[in-house]
Amino acid sequence: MPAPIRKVVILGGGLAGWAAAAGIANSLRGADVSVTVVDASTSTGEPPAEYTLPATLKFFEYLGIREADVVRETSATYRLGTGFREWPQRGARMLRPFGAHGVDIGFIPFHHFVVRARQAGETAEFNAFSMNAAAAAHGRFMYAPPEARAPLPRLEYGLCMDRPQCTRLLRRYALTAGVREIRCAVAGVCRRKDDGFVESLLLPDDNMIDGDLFIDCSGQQALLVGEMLGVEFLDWSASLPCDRMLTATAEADASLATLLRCTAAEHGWLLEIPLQQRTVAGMLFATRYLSEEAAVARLATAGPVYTSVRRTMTTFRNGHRARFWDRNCIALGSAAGSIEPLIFSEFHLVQSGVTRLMRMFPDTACDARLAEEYNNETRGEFENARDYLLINYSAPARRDSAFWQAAGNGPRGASFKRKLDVFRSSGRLVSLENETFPTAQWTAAWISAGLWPQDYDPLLDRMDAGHLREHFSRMSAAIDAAATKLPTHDAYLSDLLGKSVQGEGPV
Amino acid sequence: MRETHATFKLGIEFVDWHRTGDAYMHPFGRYGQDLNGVAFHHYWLRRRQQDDTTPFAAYCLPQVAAKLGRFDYPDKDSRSVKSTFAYAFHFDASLYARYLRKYSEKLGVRRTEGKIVDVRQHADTGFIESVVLADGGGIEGELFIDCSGFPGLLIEGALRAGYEDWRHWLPCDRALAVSCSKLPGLPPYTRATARSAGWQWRIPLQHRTGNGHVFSSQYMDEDEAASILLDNAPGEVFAEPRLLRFTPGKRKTMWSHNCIAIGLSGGFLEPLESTSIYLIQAAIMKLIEFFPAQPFSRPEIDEFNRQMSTKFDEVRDFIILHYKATERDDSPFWKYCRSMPIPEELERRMQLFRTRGIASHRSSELFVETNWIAVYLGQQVIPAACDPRVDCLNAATIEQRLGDMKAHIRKAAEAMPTHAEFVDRHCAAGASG
Repeated sequence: MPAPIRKVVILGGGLAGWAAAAGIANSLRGADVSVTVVDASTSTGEPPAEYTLPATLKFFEYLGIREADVVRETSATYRLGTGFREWPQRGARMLRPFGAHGVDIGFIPFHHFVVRARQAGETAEFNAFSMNAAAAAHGRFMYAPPEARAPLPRLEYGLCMDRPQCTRLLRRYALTAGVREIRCAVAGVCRRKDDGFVESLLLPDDNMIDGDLFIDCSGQQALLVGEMLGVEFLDWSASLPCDRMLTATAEADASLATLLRCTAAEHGWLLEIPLQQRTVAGMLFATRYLSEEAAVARLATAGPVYTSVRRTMTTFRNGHRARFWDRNCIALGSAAGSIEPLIFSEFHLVQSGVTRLMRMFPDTACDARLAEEYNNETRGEFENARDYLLINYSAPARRDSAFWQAAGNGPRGASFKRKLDVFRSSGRLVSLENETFPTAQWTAAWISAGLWPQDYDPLLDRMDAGHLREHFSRMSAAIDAAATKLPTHDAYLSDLLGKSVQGEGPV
Repeated sequence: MRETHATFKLGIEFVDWHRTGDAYMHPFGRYGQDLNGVAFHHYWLRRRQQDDTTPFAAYCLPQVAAKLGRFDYPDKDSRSVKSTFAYAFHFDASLYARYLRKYSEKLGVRRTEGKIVDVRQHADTGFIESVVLADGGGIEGELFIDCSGFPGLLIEGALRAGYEDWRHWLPCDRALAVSCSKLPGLPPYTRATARSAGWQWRIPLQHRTGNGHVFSSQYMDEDEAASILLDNAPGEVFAEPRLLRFTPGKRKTMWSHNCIAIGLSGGFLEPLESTSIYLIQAAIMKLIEFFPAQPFSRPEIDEFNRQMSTKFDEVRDFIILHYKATERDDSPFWKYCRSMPIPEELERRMQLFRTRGIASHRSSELFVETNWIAVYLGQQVIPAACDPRVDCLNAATIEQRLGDMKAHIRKAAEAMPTHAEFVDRHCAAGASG
């Protein structure tokens, strides 16, 4: 039987590297396995903020870090969804909350009811049936609303976090769990002759760091999986042309409470990410249509009041490695691939990859079948997330600049077309594997993009429209009333942060 | 339960599948408790490597209860060991059909008895407009559900949807069924015993026992199959065995034009894992989910067909596993099964489990991790390595935790009433509701 893995070496000490270190060290507590992070300072150029999905937070739970501590240590704010501006058309404002809208009617998903009401000429506001949307509209938040009982759903939330602080939190956690840190650049690698497995990293002083399993968190260049092992990069920029994120710090903006704001611009997006006491503003754009210099000038006049002249330019390319796991190396973070940080940022796929790796943790043989399973699942996850992002660029979204035309006319795969066609014709959702977003989130995305189904479920016709209308108008009133009773996000946050580290709060 | 003379079912016992003399159960429940986020079976595998011979079965409440002839409803409280299982029914299929007919007629469903002699289709679209009965009457419709059984009068007879034959993976194509007297003790599980060219079922009902012999006509003739069935009937036999002929496989397109095939017209898989009614219900629920309006829309029909077709493939692969993972070479039938090529996806899954104990399945699949693990381990598909994270706990702790689980499960099973008592008290046939 092949020997167990005793030495895990992580190349790269950015967010991905430390998330991997924390996750692996936590999973293997008590086992005879050493984890070493070789930090070649690849974290330069990492964007300053992270914005997560609800599912991302499970990772902290898995590590046993209390949510209140995460919020405190990463200057986080709670996120109930995404507020779009100038999208899908100029002048439009559109909120896409997390969580479900309404409640299903028997076996019929709720949104069919709204489609029927609209076809009957009624003004049915989809978001009037979302607890998240109501709370966000009022800038309110509470971990568990006291009145959140059926049919009022709980709030579903992610976080907007300070990325360096998040990295430090994970680093501290990992070091406490026994991870060794070596701050040094890497000069090369030694590979086994017969099968090309990586045996050790070569340091400039001719020292070597041996390992059984290597995690490539070296960023976009993918030093191990890309440069050394030669795994090809599959480029998606023909359908998702953005390749830069320029960020700067701005003053806090109360109107951003509980939301990530994405304003569609001529050459991409202006993102406003609320943190405690400040905002991170970012310009997501494509250098094919806007130069870096021009982006700097635009960001300076984009609206937010900037508190610092320090800017960060993050370079990326949408797409992913053909294999994420090759031989005894596994790429995580931007070494694995990038999906433009429009709805969620890098950390989500990093933690998902770490969790998957732990489920399939190999022995020193690194059986190709494990790698294949890992690669299939990860590829599915990337492709589903890509399809979800493509909704933002698909008709009827704006077409009023070269950027929007290119993004709108870019190639779409069969999977996207199938999802689109089925939803468009009848409001049904196709079933998916390795899915990042719950079906409710897909529905919210199609509808917020203006892609209303042409028809609703015909089984709805046997139900009395008046009765349903009355039922749901009571529901939306109850949602609104419940939302206004919640504390404001500010009040909730200061209350939470005022409590001692050992105090009460969400765990 | 009362109207179908039903009993409860905690699982299926497979006898003589891996080797003659071996038996294991595929129960409706979880094995043990995950520790530190690592699935239980990895700990069992580690203990096994250290020569602990405790059977996997000892860590599964429904299995222990089933072998003790006991039954109770599961507990909703997730902290209770009694929340770790589910149950199913054994019922009399013809009584169940009668029950559903009564239910439907109460809802206004109209029943017309008659033999279909012709199907009228639209000249251009091929859509079915009406069926013509032997007495000359016609029945018009906008949507037709073909439940005509194997022949698929509409889906195949009129629409030529095509059939995918799976006999190379599942050589059984005949079944002989016969009833016998009820079993003493009323076991709360089905038994499936492998025979030299197929297998035999034993299904305990309140008033009788259902028996059947599923076999391959290529490897055994009907007379021999009948005598095996009758020789092994566990009670007094009431009638002559009835013969059923089938071709395992699926209809290539289950929804064609304005016709949807549900039941045997859509496909057939032998009842080894009791999936026939499941596949019927799945098709009904899918139809409700994708219920059409005029004019019919292509993307949804394609999606319905894609999902239903996948469901058949998934169930098929799970059944093939039972035949493939065997060491039996005592008959030409078993020699064929153990060496036959299997679908690529199943091959991949089996190898993945053999490699590191990972039971891969799709999220929408009927059979999930625990089902696959039960059959893999039951048929001696043993992983070469377990999850390395099991070593985060020291050997003594693992031994103690597993010992506790086993004792706890045994105690909970012994506290349950016997299955016969339970049925008597809650749902005896003939008792008033």
